[in-house]
Amino acid sequence: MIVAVTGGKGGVGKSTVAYNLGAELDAVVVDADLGMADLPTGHGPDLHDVLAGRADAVEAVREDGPVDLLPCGRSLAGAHAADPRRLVDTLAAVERVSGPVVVDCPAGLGSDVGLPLLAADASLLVTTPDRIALADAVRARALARELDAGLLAVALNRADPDAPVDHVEETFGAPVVPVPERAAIARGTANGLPARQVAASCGEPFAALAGHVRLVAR
Amino acid sequence: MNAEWTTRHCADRTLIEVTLTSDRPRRVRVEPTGDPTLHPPRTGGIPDAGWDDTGFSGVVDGRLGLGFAVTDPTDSPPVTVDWRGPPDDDPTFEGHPDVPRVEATTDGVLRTLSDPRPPRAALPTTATSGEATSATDREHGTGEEAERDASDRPTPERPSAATDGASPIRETSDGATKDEPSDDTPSTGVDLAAVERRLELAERLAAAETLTAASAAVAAAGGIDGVRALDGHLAADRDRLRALAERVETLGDRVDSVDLPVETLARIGGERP
Repeated sequence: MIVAVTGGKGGVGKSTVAYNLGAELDAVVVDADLGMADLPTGHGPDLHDVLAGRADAVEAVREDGPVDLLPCGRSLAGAHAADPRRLVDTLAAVERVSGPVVVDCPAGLGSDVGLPLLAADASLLVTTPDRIALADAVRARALARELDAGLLAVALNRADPDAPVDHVEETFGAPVVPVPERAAIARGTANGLPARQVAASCGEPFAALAGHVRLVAR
Repeated sequence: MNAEWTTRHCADRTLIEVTLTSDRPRRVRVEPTGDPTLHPPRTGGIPDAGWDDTGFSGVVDGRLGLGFAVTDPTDSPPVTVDWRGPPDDDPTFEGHPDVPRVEATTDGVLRTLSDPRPPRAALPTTATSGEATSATDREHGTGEEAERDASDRPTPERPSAATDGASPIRETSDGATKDEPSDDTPSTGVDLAAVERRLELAERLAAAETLTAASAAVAAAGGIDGVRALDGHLAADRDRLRALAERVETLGDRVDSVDLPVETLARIGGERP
């Protein structure tokens, strides 16, 4: 199963959710932000190389960290050389060999969001409760609908106890999982660690999101 | 506002059909009574829009039919219908004004949505810009390949009217850059393939009729600076093409007027037929 994690607005926590969802599902997380990657990179071939035809998708998956990861390069030259047409086949190839795939999509409504949605079996939306992020999330949801990537759940990131969970649920017509702002989650992300490894309770929202994915994957 | 329902048993489940009517748009929440296990309608395994683990939320405007199943015996009435007033001004997902219709194919996505690749204008073009090329890129030789076609997009850093404006900038393996003609630059000094690509970009910019299309085209050109640089490059292209056309015409005239005396020369040279 391929799950595209989208959100529309930048900085709402898509990468954090994707990384932790990957940890819960024992999936390969693919950083598809061709222009502004923010998941750990390390050495070796990356998604830019794969999309430029210089590396094999499966061989580019790093299995030496807490979460299997197909990182994306961070150079403009690498992004420019990458052929986005290869993205759909790349995701399919990783899924075929490695199992579930979680795609960390970039912000916006470009083809680097559209292509993962096209390849995905379903999508997961990340937003914060503020009005601007919600408006962008609505656009991302509309694009997912255009490309038949059904919405599994909404991660309402940085949700305080007063967050409008019911309203968001009603707006998107999908279950909403509030993800409270916790220093341990940020600390884990900064150090390449799933939140559950930093503090068990911090992993609970991501486990709940994974539960919604498994319901469909069964 | 009205709600009617029917139930029927099928194997170990009870199928419930609900018909909701309202003469004006109204939000509604429908849940089965009791605490049964709900099986919402699904498409491709994913619950349809509006459905969650415990019921349905949506808007009724006129008439709306719902159908779902529960595994446990139903109470009477089998559903609770909670009318929640007029809908908010939330935009709908169908036909969102900011989201174009996209054909669900790779080509369709690439055609309609913006290209994720950074414009060539954003690529490093100075000797020190090798820093922007990662170790991975150098390891796999990507830098040079990426720069190879750096000539056919606007490069604001370079003077557009420069006589050598069509020359690409190549990055060598050690990160240094140098000017030299691209592989497909003919001896005429005009890289026609690059001109064609610049024209395609310009035509796309000129043809954009919607805000979305215009934004995508401007982004593809590297922002408004890229558009201005493109304009400068096209002006230089126009001059070079005009010069090339004149040269072609002159050469054509000379080709037409020359009559090469092959046989005479052969005789003078003593060649025997």
